[in-house]
Amino acid sequence: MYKILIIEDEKLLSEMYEDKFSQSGFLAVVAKSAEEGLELLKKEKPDLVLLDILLPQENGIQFLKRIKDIPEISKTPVIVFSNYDDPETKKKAFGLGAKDYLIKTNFTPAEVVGKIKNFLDKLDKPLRGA
Amino acid sequence: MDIKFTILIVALLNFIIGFSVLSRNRKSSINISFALVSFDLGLWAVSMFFYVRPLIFDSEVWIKIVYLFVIGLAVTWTYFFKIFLGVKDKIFPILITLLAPVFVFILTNTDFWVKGVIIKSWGPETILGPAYALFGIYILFAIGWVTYVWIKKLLQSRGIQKMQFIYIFVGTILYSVLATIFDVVIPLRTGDSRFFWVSTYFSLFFVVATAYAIIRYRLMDIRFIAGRTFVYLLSIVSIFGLAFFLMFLNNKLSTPVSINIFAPIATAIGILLFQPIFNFFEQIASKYFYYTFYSYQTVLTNLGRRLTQVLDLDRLSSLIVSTLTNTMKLDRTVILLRESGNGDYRIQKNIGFREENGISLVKDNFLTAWLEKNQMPLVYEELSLIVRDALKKEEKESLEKIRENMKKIEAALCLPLFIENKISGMIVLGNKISGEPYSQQDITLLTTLANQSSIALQNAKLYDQVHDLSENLQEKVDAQTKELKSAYEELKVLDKAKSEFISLASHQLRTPLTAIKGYISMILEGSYGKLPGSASKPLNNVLGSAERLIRIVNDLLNISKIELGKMELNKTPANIEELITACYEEMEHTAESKGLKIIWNKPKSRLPEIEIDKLKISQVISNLIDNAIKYTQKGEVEIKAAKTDSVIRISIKDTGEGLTEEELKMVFEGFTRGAAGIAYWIEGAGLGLYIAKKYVDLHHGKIWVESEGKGKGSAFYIELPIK
Repeated sequence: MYKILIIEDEKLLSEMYEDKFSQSGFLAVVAKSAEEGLELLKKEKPDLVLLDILLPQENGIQFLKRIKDIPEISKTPVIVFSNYDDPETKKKAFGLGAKDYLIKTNFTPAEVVGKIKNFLDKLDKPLRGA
Repeated sequence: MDIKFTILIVALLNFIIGFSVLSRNRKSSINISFALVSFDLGLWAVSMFFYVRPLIFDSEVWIKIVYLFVIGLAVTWTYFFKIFLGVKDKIFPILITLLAPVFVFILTNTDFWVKGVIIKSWGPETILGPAYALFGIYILFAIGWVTYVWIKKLLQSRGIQKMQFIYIFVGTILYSVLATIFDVVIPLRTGDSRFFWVSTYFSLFFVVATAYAIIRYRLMDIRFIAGRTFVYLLSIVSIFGLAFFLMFLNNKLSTPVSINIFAPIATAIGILLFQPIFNFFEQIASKYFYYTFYSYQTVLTNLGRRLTQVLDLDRLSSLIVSTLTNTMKLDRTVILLRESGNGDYRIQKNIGFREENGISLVKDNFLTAWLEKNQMPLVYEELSLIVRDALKKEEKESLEKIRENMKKIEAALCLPLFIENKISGMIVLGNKISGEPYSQQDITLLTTLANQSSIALQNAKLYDQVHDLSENLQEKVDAQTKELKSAYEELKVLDKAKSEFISLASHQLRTPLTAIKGYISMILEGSYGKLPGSASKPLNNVLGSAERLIRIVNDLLNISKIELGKMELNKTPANIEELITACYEEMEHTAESKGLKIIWNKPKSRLPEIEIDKLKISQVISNLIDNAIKYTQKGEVEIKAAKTDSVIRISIKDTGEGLTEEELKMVFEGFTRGAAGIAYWIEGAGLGLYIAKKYVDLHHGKIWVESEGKGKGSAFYIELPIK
């Protein structure tokens, strides 16, 4: 079973994705801010982080920078998941190691889960399994 | 040769200088009085010669004549200095004048002055009576008065005038003191008057000092005087030479004709020949010295030429005023110019006049009207004649007023400046420092100069105006350019703000849209329990609407990205054929469900790979196919791809409703939609084609549409460069 950390400040959306991921057999953890996300990342050690960009206080880009300096979590794959598709931000996110940059409105929750599952399945993770 | 003959040369020099000065200006009282002094000195020297060499009459007659001219000298001398120095005191000159006849009477009718003449070995000696001492006092009084007024004037004068005064004064004093010593002091103290005649030489001190003042300080025009002296001297020398030649011939022939017969012949020939000889020499002098004769005229002629070379109004007027003032030796000069609008005068350039005086002449319009009517300069000296001859009473009064005003402000000449017979201004000249009036020649010359000046001044004025105008224009253009620039900047800011607003608003819209789309899809997927069958269709409609809304928002965001210049291409090598096939397969189902035939005519030869942003070009192709399907109710949609040397051309043809000419023009503009879009309910916000064009533009490609008209279908083309 995959463990996924969703960092999303919009409650309406985080609940929706949490529902879909749970129903799809994921263990979903939700954080409402970058700070909370960082702590949960350290504590929960999820397989993947689904990161929003537009967050209160520290934004997603700052979050990406922060985790790069923390060895124990710096290897966790992050997929950016935002409605903010400014090309520069996109570039920065990829530059900081984001695996993908998805525009939320373009996908249904089911499609998002499918994409994440595909991604994780491709990764060689002998210790974890569905 | 007898040394005493040199007295005659002194006399001749005195005559020539006196005559030259007089002929230079017969109206000037200074010239007249100076000439009288010179003539008196000349005659005095002549009679002195005859006194020591009594060729006719005896010395007693001649000594009385000598004293007559000394009395005359006292009178003429006093008046010359009174006039030259501008002394107002009249009493002393009158006293001298009144006493003169008394001395003449004593001299000619009594022996109180001249008792008799004794001829001694060295020449004649005059026995003087007691009246001579009285005459000595009379002369000393005259010298004393002249010295007194001179010192007074000297203290008031400055510059050139002061230097002139000093030279003439020194000459006069040397002459009068030395002459008094030889004529009065020595004879009275020693009773010996053998050097009596020497005093005539001292008159040359006066003559030379005056000449020096003239040469150095141009009191009167020395070139003219020098020229005249030259002409007279040569003429007289020629006449005498001829006479001596005749005498020589007479002696050679040794005829017994007595000299008494020859003398009248020589005199007659001399008189007859003098004028032609004089004219001859004057012609030569004129030919070679003309310009030096009239030195300031030359300068003024040259000024006329220089006027055409200066375009700056201030420099030009300064040039005119300073040249006139300096070369004609004027005490003041002003140029008044009229404003082109109201005709008011203003002082353009002034030397010497007081500001309010300079303008006072033209305060009323009379002078302007008078000059315009008469078209000639107004000379102060002629004004009294003009006043006398004026017909109307008002004119007389006005002219008299002008005369008084000119006198008050010390203006001597008004030179009107004409432009097409209208007065455009005037040059007002003061008096010559020498006190000479303006000669006819001066006025002719000045009139010519005024005509040249008026044209030059007019040109300068026009030049100034044009210059100002072009400067103004430049300023205006600059100001407007600046305004436009700032307006443009403002617009740019506004445009950016608009795009940013769209971007922000769209991002905000996306969140609720994500929720709607997400939840509906999950409901439809059964995430929240099994759905009743009847709910599936309306929920699918809601989902479709949400999808549509999302596309609109995406379009808006893309546009704002393009307009903010943030749209970037992610170019990779791509096979266009594959790209079209993918789009075709995606749309095939939609077309078929609408009952349309969709044909993808693959190219016969392989298309080369080209560098493009696959996502964006796919979007463009999909959009065009999607549109073709939407706007076609019946028939087919045909897709083709082909290559030329430089481009790959993709075409999407349909048998749909086509486009009007108007729509053809508008179809790629933002926020427009073909009229058909309104007539039929068809999805799409019309932004697709605008974005398509932007994307193709970013690829340096071309996109266009052809349509034969309404109902005749349309064909969209895309060309992408191969390299």
